[in-house]
Amino acid sequence: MHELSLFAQVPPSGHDQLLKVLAGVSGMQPQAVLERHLVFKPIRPPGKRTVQVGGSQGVQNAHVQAIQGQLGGELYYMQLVKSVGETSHMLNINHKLGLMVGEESATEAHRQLDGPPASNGANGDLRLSKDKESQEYSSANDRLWRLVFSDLPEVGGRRPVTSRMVSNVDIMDGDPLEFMHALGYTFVSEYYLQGYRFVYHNVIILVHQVLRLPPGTEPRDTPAHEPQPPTDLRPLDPSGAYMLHSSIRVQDGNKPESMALAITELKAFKDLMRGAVDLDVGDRLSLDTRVR
Amino acid sequence: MTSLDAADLKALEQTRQRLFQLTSSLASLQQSIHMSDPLPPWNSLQSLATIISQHLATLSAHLTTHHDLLSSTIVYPLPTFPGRTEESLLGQLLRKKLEPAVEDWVDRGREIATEALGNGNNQSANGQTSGDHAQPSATVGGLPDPTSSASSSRLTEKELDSLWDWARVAANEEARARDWDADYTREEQESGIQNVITGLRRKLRDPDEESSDEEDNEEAIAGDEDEERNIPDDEMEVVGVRRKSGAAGLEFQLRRESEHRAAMMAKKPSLPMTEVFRFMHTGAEPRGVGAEPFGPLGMAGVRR
Repeated sequence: MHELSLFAQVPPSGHDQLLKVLAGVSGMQPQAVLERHLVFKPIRPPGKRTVQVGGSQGVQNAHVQAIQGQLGGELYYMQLVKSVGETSHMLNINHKLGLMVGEESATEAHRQLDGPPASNGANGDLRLSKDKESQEYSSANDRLWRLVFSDLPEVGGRRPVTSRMVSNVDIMDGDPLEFMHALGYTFVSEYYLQGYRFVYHNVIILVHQVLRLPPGTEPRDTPAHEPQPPTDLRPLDPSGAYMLHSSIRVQDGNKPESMALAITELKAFKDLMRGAVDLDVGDRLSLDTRVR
Repeated sequence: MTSLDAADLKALEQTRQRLFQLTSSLASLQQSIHMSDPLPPWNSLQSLATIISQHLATLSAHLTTHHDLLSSTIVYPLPTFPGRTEESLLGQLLRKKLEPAVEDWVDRGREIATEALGNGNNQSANGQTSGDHAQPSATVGGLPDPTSSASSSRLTEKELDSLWDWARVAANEEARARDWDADYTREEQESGIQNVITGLRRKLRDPDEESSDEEDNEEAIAGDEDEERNIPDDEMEVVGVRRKSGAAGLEFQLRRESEHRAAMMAKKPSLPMTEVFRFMHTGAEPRGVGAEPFGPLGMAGVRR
Protein backbone atom coordinates (compact mmCIF):
# COMPACT_ATOMS: atom_id res chain seq x y z
CA MET A 1 0.00 0.00 0.00
CA HIS A 2 1.36 3.38 -0.97
CA GLU A 3 0.78 6.46 1.03
CA LEU A 4 0.94 9.87 -0.63
CA SER A 5 1.31 12.64 1.90
CA LEU A 6 1.59 16.33 2.37
CA PHE A 7 2.55 17.87 5.69
CA ALA A 8 2.20 21.16 7.44
CA GLN A 9 2.96 22.56 10.80
CA VAL A 10 0.23 24.41 12.66
CA PRO A 11 1.01 26.83 15.47
CA PRO A 12 -1.05 26.28 18.61
CA SER A 13 -2.82 29.59 18.06
CA GLY A 14 -4.14 28.43 14.72
CA HIS A 15 -5.10 24.95 15.79
CA ASP A 16 -8.69 25.57 16.81
CA GLN A 17 -9.41 27.60 13.75
CA LEU A 18 -7.90 24.99 11.51
CA LEU A 19 -10.07 22.32 13.05
CA LYS A 20 -13.13 24.36 12.29
CA VAL A 21 -11.97 25.01 8.76
CA LEU A 22 -11.36 21.32 8.22
CA ALA A 23 -14.70 20.45 9.73
CA GLY A 24 -16.33 22.79 7.27
CA VAL A 25 -14.33 21.53 4.32
CA SER A 26 -14.82 17.88 5.04
CA GLY A 27 -18.36 18.23 6.23
CA MET A 28 -17.75 16.12 9.28
CA GLN A 29 -17.00 16.57 12.91
CA PRO A 30 -13.42 15.96 13.96
CA GLN A 31 -12.76 12.42 15.05
CA ALA A 32 -10.58 12.30 18.10
CA VAL A 33 -7.49 10.19 17.82
CA LEU A 34 -5.26 9.03 20.61
CA GLU A 35 -2.73 6.44 19.68
CA ARG A 36 0.08 4.83 21.56
CA HIS A 37 3.16 4.29 19.48
CA LEU A 38 5.99 1.96 20.41
CA VAL A 39 9.10 2.31 18.31
CA PHE A 40 11.17 -0.81 17.76
CA LYS A 41 14.61 -1.12 16.34
CA PRO A 42 16.01 -4.29 14.77
CA ILE A 43 19.07 -5.88 16.23
CA ARG A 44 21.69 -6.10 13.56
CA PRO A 45 22.54 -9.73 12.97
CA PRO A 46 26.07 -10.54 14.09
CA GLY A 47 26.78 -12.41 10.86
CA LYS A 48 26.87 -9.27 8.86
CA ARG A 49 30.52 -8.52 9.39
CA THR A 50 31.57 -11.96 8.23
CA VAL A 51 30.06 -11.66 4.83
CA GLN A 52 32.73 -11.83 2.22
CA VAL A 53 33.46 -8.57 0.63
CA GLY A 54 36.02 -9.42 -1.96
CA GLY A 55 35.83 -11.89 -4.79
CA SER A 56 35.36 -15.52 -3.93
CA GLN A 57 35.76 -18.77 -5.72
CA GLY A 58 33.15 -20.47 -3.61
CA VAL A 59 29.92 -21.19 -5.34
CA GLN A 60 26.88 -20.29 -3.25
CA ASN A 61 23.51 -21.63 -3.91
CA ALA A 62 20.59 -19.31 -4.52
CA HIS A 63 19.10 -19.79 -1.07
CA VAL A 64 22.25 -18.70 0.72
CA GLN A 65 22.60 -15.76 -1.61
CA ALA A 66 19.08 -14.59 -0.82
CA ILE A 67 19.68 -14.84 2.90
CA GLN A 68 22.95 -13.00 2.63
CA GLY A 69 21.29 -10.32 0.59
CA GLN A 70 18.73 -9.86 3.30
CA LEU A 71 21.39 -9.77 5.95
CA GLY A 72 23.37 -7.14 4.15
CA GLY A 73 20.30 -5.13 3.27
CA GLU A 74 18.82 -2.22 5.07
CA LEU A 75 17.06 -2.65 8.36
CA TYR A 76 14.10 -0.56 9.31
CA TYR A 77 12.44 0.66 12.43
CA MET A 78 8.99 -0.65 13.08
CA GLN A 79 6.21 0.52 15.26
CA LEU A 80 3.49 -1.01 17.30
CA VAL A 81 0.48 1.24 17.34
CA LYS A 82 -2.58 0.94 19.46
CA SER A 83 -5.50 3.27 19.67
CA VAL A 84 -6.18 4.02 23.29
CA GLY A 85 -9.40 5.83 22.64
CA GLU A 86 -10.89 8.90 24.03
CA THR A 87 -10.16 10.11 27.47
CA SER A 88 -11.50 12.68 29.80
CA HIS A 89 -8.56 14.86 28.86
CA MET A 90 -9.60 14.90 25.27
CA LEU A 91 -13.20 15.37 26.12
CA ASN A 92 -12.19 18.44 28.00
CA ILE A 93 -10.39 19.70 24.98
CA ASN A 94 -13.41 19.01 22.86
CA HIS A 95 -15.58 20.84 25.27
CA LYS A 96 -13.24 23.77 25.19
CA LEU A 97 -13.27 23.84 21.44
CA GLY A 98 -17.01 23.61 21.32
CA LEU A 99 -16.76 20.70 18.99
CA MET A 100 -18.89 17.65 18.94
CA VAL A 101 -16.67 14.71 18.52
CA GLY A 102 -18.45 11.86 16.93
CA GLU A 103 -18.13 8.53 18.65
CA GLU A 104 -17.45 6.04 16.00
CA SER A 105 -19.39 2.98 16.65
CA ALA A 106 -18.00 -0.46 16.50
CA THR A 107 -20.61 -1.43 14.01
CA GLU A 108 -19.38 1.11 11.58
CA ALA A 109 -15.87 -0.09 12.08
CA HIS A 110 -16.93 -3.62 11.44
CA ARG A 111 -18.94 -2.63 8.44
CA GLN A 112 -15.80 -1.26 6.89
CA LEU A 113 -13.83 -4.31 7.65
CA ASP A 114 -13.18 -6.46 4.67
CA GLY A 115 -12.25 -9.40 6.81
CA PRO A 116 -14.11 -11.26 9.50
CA PRO A 117 -14.58 -9.57 12.89
CA ALA A 118 -11.77 -9.80 15.37
CA SER A 119 -13.45 -12.46 17.44
CA ASN A 120 -13.65 -14.83 14.52
CA GLY A 121 -10.14 -14.27 13.34
CA ALA A 122 -8.50 -14.59 16.75
CA ASN A 123 -6.34 -17.52 15.90
CA GLY A 124 -2.96 -15.91 16.18
CA ASP A 125 -2.64 -15.23 12.48
CA LEU A 126 -1.33 -11.94 11.29
CA ARG A 127 -3.83 -10.38 9.03
CA LEU A 128 -3.05 -7.56 6.68
CA SER A 129 -5.62 -4.89 7.04
CA LYS A 130 -6.60 -3.11 3.92
CA ASP A 131 -8.22 -0.35 5.91
CA LYS A 132 -6.22 1.01 8.73
CA GLU A 133 -8.89 3.49 9.71
CA SER A 134 -11.51 0.89 10.41
CA GLN A 135 -9.40 -0.94 12.90
CA GLU A 136 -8.36 2.13 14.81
CA TYR A 137 -11.85 2.87 15.82
CA SER A 138 -12.97 -0.47 16.94
CA SER A 139 -14.62 -0.43 20.27
CA ALA A 140 -12.51 -0.70 23.38
CA ASN A 141 -12.94 -4.47 23.58
CA ASP A 142 -11.32 -5.44 20.37
CA ARG A 143 -8.79 -2.63 20.17
CA LEU A 144 -5.71 -4.19 18.73
CA TRP A 145 -2.06 -3.63 18.40
CA ARG A 146 -1.02 -2.87 14.90
CA LEU A 147 2.38 -3.43 13.41
CA VAL A 148 3.24 -0.45 11.25
CA PHE A 149 6.04 -0.31 8.78
CA SER A 150 6.79 2.66 6.62
CA ASP A 151 9.48 2.71 4.01
CA LEU A 152 11.88 5.48 3.18
CA PRO A 153 9.95 7.87 0.96
CA GLU A 154 10.67 7.76 -2.70
CA VAL A 155 13.16 10.21 -4.07
CA GLY A 156 11.47 13.56 -4.38
CA GLY A 157 11.25 15.72 -7.47
CA ARG A 158 9.36 13.21 -9.50
CA ARG A 159 6.19 13.78 -7.58
CA PRO A 160 4.92 16.86 -5.79
CA VAL A 161 3.96 14.75 -2.80
CA THR A 162 5.72 12.49 -0.38
CA SER A 163 5.23 8.94 -1.54
CA ARG A 164 6.18 5.96 0.52
CA MET A 165 5.26 2.38 0.97
CA VAL A 166 3.47 1.66 4.20
CA SER A 167 2.19 -1.51 5.70
CA ASN A 168 -0.20 -1.99 8.56
CA VAL A 169 -0.50 -5.39 10.09
CA ASP A 170 -3.06 -6.03 12.75
CA ILE A 171 -1.95 -8.33 15.50
CA MET A 172 -5.03 -10.26 16.33
CA ASP A 173 -3.80 -12.35 19.20
CA GLY A 174 -0.84 -13.12 21.35
CA ASP A 175 1.71 -10.92 23.00
CA PRO A 176 2.94 -8.35 20.49
CA LEU A 177 5.98 -7.53 22.59
CA GLU A 178 7.07 -11.13 22.63
CA PHE A 179 6.46 -11.26 18.93
CA MET A 180 8.64 -8.25 18.30
CA HIS A 181 11.36 -9.70 20.45
CA ALA A 182 11.20 -12.91 18.51
CA LEU A 183 11.52 -10.93 15.31
CA GLY A 184 14.77 -9.53 16.63
CA TYR A 185 13.54 -6.10 17.51
CA THR A 186 14.19 -4.13 20.66
CA PHE A 187 12.05 -1.45 22.14
CA VAL A 188 13.40 2.05 21.63
CA SER A 189 10.89 4.61 22.67
CA GLU A 190 7.26 5.29 23.20
CA TYR A 191 5.09 8.23 22.36
CA TYR A 192 1.45 9.15 22.06
CA LEU A 193 -0.14 10.73 19.09
CA GLN A 194 -3.12 12.85 19.93
CA GLY A 195 -5.22 14.75 17.49
CA TYR A 196 -8.21 14.78 15.21
CA ARG A 197 -8.92 13.04 12.00
CA PHE A 198 -11.00 14.18 9.06
CA VAL A 199 -11.75 12.55 5.79
CA TYR A 200 -12.28 14.68 2.72
CA HIS A 201 -13.09 12.52 -0.27
CA ASN A 202 -10.06 10.26 -0.41
CA VAL A 203 -7.83 12.49 1.67
CA ILE A 204 -7.24 11.48 5.24
CA ILE A 205 -6.40 14.53 7.29
CA LEU A 206 -4.81 14.07 10.64
CA VAL A 207 -4.11 17.07 12.83
CA HIS A 208 -1.97 15.73 15.57
CA GLN A 209 0.49 16.41 18.27
CA VAL A 210 3.19 14.11 19.51
CA LEU A 211 3.01 13.59 23.25
CA ARG A 212 5.69 11.91 25.22
CA LEU A 213 5.82 10.40 28.62
CA PRO A 214 6.59 12.59 31.57
CA PRO A 215 10.26 12.62 32.52
CA GLY A 216 11.33 9.94 34.93
CA THR A 217 8.72 7.45 33.82
CA GLU A 218 10.43 6.45 30.62
CA PRO A 219 10.42 2.70 30.30
CA ARG A 220 13.85 1.14 30.20
CA ASP A 221 13.72 -1.78 27.87
CA THR A 222 10.12 -2.78 27.77
CA PRO A 223 7.12 -0.51 27.49
CA ALA A 224 4.72 -0.19 30.36
CA HIS A 225 1.76 -2.52 30.37
CA GLU A 226 -0.79 0.13 31.02
CA PRO A 227 -1.10 3.21 28.85
CA GLN A 228 -0.12 6.39 30.54
CA PRO A 229 -2.94 8.67 31.64
CA PRO A 230 -3.01 11.30 28.95
CA THR A 231 -3.09 14.14 31.44
CA ASP A 232 0.49 13.33 32.41
CA LEU A 233 1.75 13.49 28.87
CA ARG A 234 3.65 16.44 27.63
CA PRO A 235 4.10 17.53 24.05
CA LEU A 236 7.32 16.75 22.27
CA ASP A 237 7.28 20.18 20.70
CA PRO A 238 7.68 22.70 23.53
CA SER A 239 5.81 25.32 21.51
CA GLY A 240 2.74 23.10 21.39
CA ALA A 241 2.56 23.21 17.62
CA TYR A 242 0.49 20.67 15.75
CA MET A 243 1.26 18.71 12.66
CA LEU A 244 -1.12 18.38 9.78
CA HIS A 245 -0.71 15.18 7.86
CA SER A 246 -2.89 14.81 4.80
CA SER A 247 -2.57 11.54 2.98
CA ILE A 248 -4.15 9.39 0.34
CA ARG A 249 -3.59 5.69 0.31
CA VAL A 250 -3.22 3.82 -2.90
CA GLN A 251 -3.60 0.10 -2.77
CA ASP A 252 -1.28 -0.59 -5.65
CA GLY A 253 1.57 1.86 -6.00
CA ASN A 254 2.63 0.31 -9.27
CA LYS A 255 -0.43 1.52 -11.11
CA PRO A 256 0.52 4.90 -12.54
CA GLU A 257 -3.05 5.91 -13.25
CA SER A 258 -4.27 5.43 -9.71
CA MET A 259 -1.18 7.17 -8.37
CA ALA A 260 -1.73 10.10 -10.73
CA LEU A 261 -5.34 10.29 -9.64
CA ALA A 262 -4.31 10.39 -5.98
CA ILE A 263 -1.64 12.99 -6.61
CA THR A 264 -4.11 15.17 -8.46
CA GLU A 265 -6.59 14.95 -5.63
CA LEU A 266 -3.98 15.68 -3.01
CA LYS A 267 -2.78 18.68 -4.95
CA ALA A 268 -6.34 19.90 -5.26
CA PHE A 269 -6.67 19.61 -1.53
CA LYS A 270 -3.48 21.57 -1.09
CA ASP A 271 -4.85 24.34 -3.29
CA LEU A 272 -8.10 24.25 -1.40
CA MET A 273 -6.35 24.73 1.90
CA ARG A 274 -4.10 27.49 0.63
CA GLY A 275 -4.48 30.44 2.94
CA ALA A 276 -5.52 28.35 5.87
CA VAL A 277 -2.46 26.16 5.94
CA ASP A 278 0.38 25.58 3.52
CA LEU A 279 0.87 21.91 2.83
CA ASP A 280 4.21 20.75 1.65
CA VAL A 281 6.24 17.70 0.95
CA GLY A 282 7.86 16.16 3.98
CA ASP A 283 11.59 16.04 4.28
CA ARG A 284 12.56 12.69 2.86
CA LEU A 285 15.54 12.01 5.05
CA SER A 286 13.73 12.96 8.21
CA LEU A 287 11.11 10.38 7.29
CA ASP A 288 13.85 7.83 6.96
CA THR A 289 13.12 4.69 8.92
CA ARG A 290 16.32 2.89 8.14
CA VAL A 291 18.63 1.88 10.90
CA ARG A 292 22.01 3.52 10.70
CA MET B 1 -14.74 124.95 -23.86
CA THR B 2 -16.91 122.12 -24.98
CA SER B 3 -20.01 120.91 -23.32
CA LEU B 4 -20.16 117.37 -21.99
CA ASP B 5 -21.46 114.67 -24.30
CA ALA B 6 -23.53 111.67 -23.32
CA ALA B 7 -20.53 109.40 -22.71
CA ASP B 8 -18.94 111.91 -20.38
CA LEU B 9 -22.16 112.32 -18.52
CA LYS B 10 -22.41 108.60 -18.16
CA ALA B 11 -18.91 108.38 -16.78
CA LEU B 12 -19.66 111.09 -14.29
CA GLU B 13 -22.83 109.40 -13.29
CA GLN B 14 -20.95 106.12 -12.83
CA THR B 15 -18.44 107.87 -10.64
CA ARG B 16 -21.26 109.14 -8.51
CA GLN B 17 -22.74 105.66 -8.21
CA ARG B 18 -19.46 104.09 -7.26
CA LEU B 19 -18.85 106.69 -4.65
CA PHE B 20 -22.31 106.20 -3.31
CA GLN B 21 -21.73 102.45 -3.01
CA LEU B 22 -18.46 103.03 -1.23
CA THR B 23 -19.90 105.50 1.23
CA SER B 24 -22.87 103.30 1.95
CA SER B 25 -20.68 100.26 2.63
CA LEU B 26 -18.44 102.37 4.81
CA ALA B 27 -21.49 103.63 6.62
CA SER B 28 -22.73 100.12 7.23
CA LEU B 29 -19.35 99.12 8.64
CA GLN B 30 -19.35 102.16 10.87
CA GLN B 31 -22.86 101.42 11.98
CA SER B 32 -22.16 97.79 12.74
CA ILE B 33 -19.16 98.79 14.83
CA HIS B 34 -21.15 101.41 16.67
CA MET B 35 -24.27 99.37 17.20
CA SER B 36 -22.94 96.06 18.43
CA ASP B 37 -21.22 95.67 21.72
CA PRO B 38 -18.77 93.97 21.84
CA LEU B 39 -17.53 94.16 18.31
CA PRO B 40 -19.43 92.27 15.63
CA PRO B 41 -18.11 88.80 14.83
CA TRP B 42 -14.91 88.77 12.96
CA ASN B 43 -16.36 87.13 9.91
CA SER B 44 -18.93 89.87 9.37
CA LEU B 45 -16.23 92.48 9.80
CA GLN B 46 -14.13 90.64 7.33
CA SER B 47 -16.89 90.45 4.77
CA LEU B 48 -17.59 94.16 5.17
CA ALA B 49 -13.94 94.93 4.68
CA THR B 50 -13.91 92.80 1.58
CA ILE B 51 -16.88 94.65 0.15
CA ILE B 52 -15.28 97.99 0.85
CA SER B 53 -12.01 97.03 -0.72
CA GLN B 54 -13.86 95.76 -3.78
CA HIS B 55 -15.67 99.06 -4.10
CA LEU B 56 -12.42 100.89 -3.68
CA ALA B 57 -10.81 98.83 -6.37
CA THR B 58 -13.64 99.40 -8.86
CA LEU B 59 -13.66 103.11 -8.06
CA SER B 60 -9.95 103.37 -8.54
CA ALA B 61 -10.17 101.58 -11.86
CA HIS B 62 -13.00 103.84 -12.90
CA LEU B 63 -11.09 106.99 -11.99
CA THR B 64 -8.07 105.80 -13.88
CA THR B 65 -10.13 105.05 -16.95
CA HIS B 66 -11.80 108.45 -17.03
CA HIS B 67 -8.76 110.31 -15.83
CA ASP B 68 -8.67 112.66 -18.79
CA LEU B 69 -12.28 113.58 -18.55
CA LEU B 70 -12.31 114.08 -14.83
CA SER B 71 -9.11 116.07 -14.71
CA SER B 72 -10.30 118.47 -17.44
CA THR B 73 -13.82 118.93 -16.21
CA ILE B 74 -14.57 122.09 -14.28
CA VAL B 75 -17.66 123.10 -12.46
CA TYR B 76 -19.36 126.40 -13.04
CA PRO B 77 -22.77 127.62 -12.02
CA LEU B 78 -25.42 128.30 -14.61
CA PRO B 79 -27.28 131.54 -14.34
CA THR B 80 -30.38 129.61 -13.40
CA PHE B 81 -28.66 128.14 -10.34
CA PRO B 82 -30.32 129.47 -7.20
CA GLY B 83 -27.12 131.00 -5.88
CA ARG B 84 -28.66 132.81 -3.00
CA THR B 85 -30.62 129.96 -1.44
CA GLU B 86 -28.03 127.23 -2.06
CA GLU B 87 -24.95 129.25 -1.25
CA SER B 88 -23.28 126.64 0.93
CA LEU B 89 -23.72 123.93 -1.68
CA LEU B 90 -22.45 126.27 -4.33
CA GLY B 91 -19.37 127.06 -2.31
CA GLN B 92 -18.74 123.34 -1.78
CA LEU B 93 -19.07 122.57 -5.44
CA LEU B 94 -16.92 125.43 -6.59
CA ARG B 95 -14.15 124.88 -4.07
CA LYS B 96 -10.91 123.87 -5.76
CA LYS B 97 -8.75 123.24 -2.77
CA LEU B 98 -9.42 120.40 -0.41
CA GLU B 99 -10.64 121.05 3.03
CA PRO B 100 -7.80 121.16 5.56
CA ALA B 101 -8.80 117.93 7.31
CA VAL B 102 -9.17 116.12 4.02
CA GLU B 103 -5.83 117.42 2.88
CA ASP B 104 -4.22 115.85 5.91
CA TRP B 105 -5.85 112.53 5.09
CA VAL B 106 -4.61 112.69 1.57
CA ASP B 107 -1.11 113.47 2.69
CA ARG B 108 -1.11 110.61 5.15
CA GLY B 109 -2.48 108.26 2.56
CA ARG B 110 0.24 109.24 0.14
CA GLU B 111 2.86 108.66 2.75
CA ILE B 112 1.52 105.20 3.41
CA ALA B 113 1.34 104.49 -0.28
CA THR B 114 4.93 105.51 -0.87
CA GLU B 115 6.08 103.47 2.09
CA ALA B 116 4.07 100.42 1.21
CA LEU B 117 4.78 100.39 -2.47
CA GLY B 118 8.23 101.86 -2.36
CA ASN B 119 7.74 103.40 -5.79
CA GLY B 120 4.40 105.05 -5.18
CA ASN B 121 5.20 107.91 -7.56
CA ASN B 122 2.71 106.78 -10.06
CA GLN B 123 -0.11 106.75 -7.60
CA SER B 124 0.87 110.01 -5.93
CA ALA B 125 0.92 111.72 -9.28
CA ASN B 126 -2.48 110.27 -9.93
CA GLY B 127 -3.75 111.55 -6.63
CA GLN B 128 -2.36 114.98 -7.27
CA THR B 129 -4.16 115.33 -10.48
CA SER B 130 -7.37 113.97 -9.14
CA GLY B 131 -6.96 116.30 -6.22
CA ASP B 132 -8.03 119.08 -8.50
CA HIS B 133 -11.40 117.56 -8.55
CA ALA B 134 -13.08 118.11 -5.29
CA GLN B 135 -15.38 115.14 -5.00
CA PRO B 136 -13.12 112.15 -5.81
CA SER B 137 -10.20 113.54 -3.87
CA ALA B 138 -12.26 114.01 -0.82
CA THR B 139 -13.39 110.42 -0.81
CA VAL B 140 -10.04 109.02 -1.71
CA GLY B 141 -8.51 111.09 0.99
CA GLY B 142 -11.10 109.91 3.44
CA LEU B 143 -10.09 106.31 3.07
CA PRO B 144 -6.95 106.20 5.09
CA ASP B 145 -8.85 107.40 8.09
CA PRO B 146 -9.33 103.99 9.80
CA THR B 147 -5.63 103.32 9.56
CA SER B 148 -4.56 106.80 10.46
CA SER B 149 -3.77 105.94 14.03
CA ALA B 150 -1.73 102.94 12.97
CA SER B 151 0.15 104.77 10.29
CA SER B 152 2.43 106.45 12.79
CA SER B 153 3.66 103.09 14.12
CA ARG B 154 3.86 101.50 10.72
CA LEU B 155 6.47 98.80 10.31
CA THR B 156 9.20 99.04 7.79
CA GLU B 157 9.57 96.42 5.12
CA LYS B 158 12.38 94.75 6.95
CA GLU B 159 10.41 94.58 10.16
CA LEU B 160 7.48 93.16 8.26
CA ASP B 161 9.64 90.45 6.80
CA SER B 162 11.05 89.51 10.17
CA LEU B 163 7.53 89.54 11.62
CA TRP B 164 6.32 87.11 8.99
CA ASP B 165 9.36 84.91 9.44
CA TRP B 166 8.62 84.72 13.12
CA ALA B 167 4.89 84.23 12.60
CA ARG B 168 5.33 81.19 10.39
CA VAL B 169 7.22 79.35 13.09
CA ALA B 170 5.19 80.69 15.97
CA ALA B 171 1.86 79.77 14.42
CA ASN B 172 3.11 76.31 13.64
CA GLU B 173 4.35 75.83 17.17
CA GLU B 174 1.09 77.01 18.57
CA ALA B 175 -0.84 74.66 16.32
CA ARG B 176 1.31 71.72 17.34
CA ALA B 177 0.91 72.56 20.98
CA ARG B 178 -2.78 71.72 20.77
CA ASP B 179 -4.29 68.30 20.96
CA TRP B 180 -6.74 68.73 18.14
CA ASP B 181 -8.40 65.37 18.59
CA ALA B 182 -8.97 65.58 22.30
CA ASP B 183 -12.44 65.75 23.72
CA TYR B 184 -11.64 68.21 26.48
CA THR B 185 -9.95 71.56 26.47
CA ARG B 186 -6.97 72.15 28.65
CA GLU B 187 -8.96 74.47 30.87
CA GLU B 188 -11.49 71.70 31.39
CA GLN B 189 -8.77 69.21 32.14
CA GLU B 190 -7.16 71.45 34.68
CA SER B 191 -10.41 72.13 36.48
CA GLY B 192 -11.33 68.45 36.41
CA ILE B 193 -13.17 66.82 33.57
CA GLN B 194 -15.82 65.36 35.84
CA ASN B 195 -17.22 68.87 36.24
CA VAL B 196 -17.75 69.30 32.54
CA ILE B 197 -21.34 68.99 31.48
CA THR B 198 -21.37 68.06 27.85
CA GLY B 199 -24.82 66.64 27.44
CA LEU B 200 -23.35 64.12 25.06
CA ARG B 201 -24.24 60.49 25.22
CA ARG B 202 -21.16 59.02 23.72
CA LYS B 203 -18.35 58.26 26.07
CA LEU B 204 -15.67 60.87 25.92
CA ARG B 205 -12.06 59.94 26.19
CA ASP B 206 -10.53 60.58 29.51
CA PRO B 207 -7.06 61.88 28.78
CA ASP B 208 -5.67 60.33 31.95
CA GLU B 209 -7.02 56.89 31.30
CA GLU B 210 -6.24 56.82 27.66
CA SER B 211 -2.94 55.13 28.16
CA SER B 212 -4.37 52.06 29.81
CA ASP B 213 -7.40 51.79 27.59
CA GLU B 214 -5.62 52.09 24.37
CA GLU B 215 -5.01 49.16 22.12
CA ASP B 216 -1.54 48.14 21.19
CA ASN B 217 -1.65 49.77 17.83
CA GLU B 218 -2.62 53.05 19.35
CA GLU B 219 0.33 52.86 21.61
CA ALA B 220 2.55 52.91 18.60
CA ILE B 221 1.58 56.50 17.96
CA ALA B 222 1.73 57.43 21.60
CA GLY B 223 4.87 59.41 21.02
CA ASP B 224 3.11 61.65 18.54
CA GLU B 225 0.28 62.29 20.91
CA ASP B 226 2.65 63.36 23.61
CA GLU B 227 4.12 65.87 21.28
CA GLU B 228 0.79 67.40 20.53
CA ARG B 229 -0.24 67.72 24.09
CA ASN B 230 2.00 70.61 24.98
CA ILE B 231 3.54 68.91 27.97
CA PRO B 232 6.86 70.06 29.31
CA ASP B 233 9.72 67.72 28.73
CA ASP B 234 10.04 66.31 32.22
CA GLU B 235 6.32 65.60 32.44
CA MET B 236 6.46 63.83 29.12
CA GLU B 237 8.83 61.34 30.64
CA VAL B 238 6.34 60.55 33.34
CA VAL B 239 3.61 59.99 30.83
CA GLY B 240 5.83 57.73 28.80
CA VAL B 241 6.68 55.60 31.78
CA ARG B 242 3.08 55.38 32.77
CA ARG B 243 2.13 54.27 29.32
CA LYS B 244 4.76 51.62 29.38
CA SER B 245 3.72 50.34 32.73
CA GLY B 246 0.14 50.32 31.57
CA ALA B 247 1.10 48.23 28.60
CA ALA B 248 3.03 45.85 30.77
CA GLY B 249 0.06 45.51 33.05
CA LEU B 250 -2.09 44.61 30.13
CA GLU B 251 0.34 41.97 29.09
CA PHE B 252 0.47 40.62 32.57
CA GLN B 253 -3.27 40.32 32.72
CA LEU B 254 -3.36 38.49 29.45
CA ARG B 255 -0.75 36.14 30.66
CA ARG B 256 -2.65 35.36 33.79
CA GLU B 257 -5.79 34.61 31.89
CA SER B 258 -4.17 32.26 29.47
CA GLU B 259 -3.16 28.81 30.31
CA HIS B 260 0.03 28.58 32.24
CA ARG B 261 1.48 25.96 30.02
CA ALA B 262 0.61 27.82 26.87
CA ALA B 263 2.23 30.95 28.22
CA MET B 264 5.33 29.01 28.97
CA MET B 265 5.38 27.64 25.47
CA ALA B 266 4.53 30.88 23.77
CA LYS B 267 8.12 31.98 23.89
CA LYS B 268 9.57 28.79 22.55
CA PRO B 269 9.90 28.37 18.83
CA SER B 270 8.17 25.36 17.45
CA LEU B 271 10.20 22.28 16.76
CA PRO B 272 11.15 21.74 13.14
CA MET B 273 8.99 19.19 11.40
CA THR B 274 12.01 17.15 10.52
CA GLU B 275 12.82 16.64 14.18
CA VAL B 276 9.27 15.57 14.89
CA PHE B 277 9.41 13.12 12.03
CA ARG B 278 12.68 11.69 13.26
CA PHE B 279 11.30 11.18 16.70
CA MET B 280 8.15 9.61 15.34
CA HIS B 281 9.94 7.15 13.14
CA THR B 282 13.12 6.32 14.94
CA GLY B 283 12.66 7.65 18.44
CA ALA B 284 15.56 10.00 17.87
CA GLU B 285 15.66 12.70 20.47
CA PRO B 286 14.97 16.05 18.84
CA ARG B 287 17.97 18.28 18.76
CA GLY B 288 17.83 21.76 20.18
CA VAL B 289 15.38 20.92 22.91
CA GLY B 290 18.00 21.78 25.47
CA ALA B 291 18.51 19.69 28.56
CA GLU B 292 16.94 16.32 28.12
CA PRO B 293 15.96 14.98 31.49
CA PHE B 294 13.61 12.54 29.85
CA GLY B 295 15.83 11.03 27.23
CA PRO B 296 14.67 7.51 26.58
CA LEU B 297 17.04 4.71 27.09
CA GLY B 298 18.09 2.92 24.00
CA MET B 299 19.01 6.24 22.54
CA ALA B 300 22.63 5.35 22.74
CA GLY B 301 22.03 2.69 20.19
CA VAL B 302 20.28 5.07 17.87
CA ARG B 303 22.99 7.65 17.98
CA ARG B 304 25.83 5.30 17.60
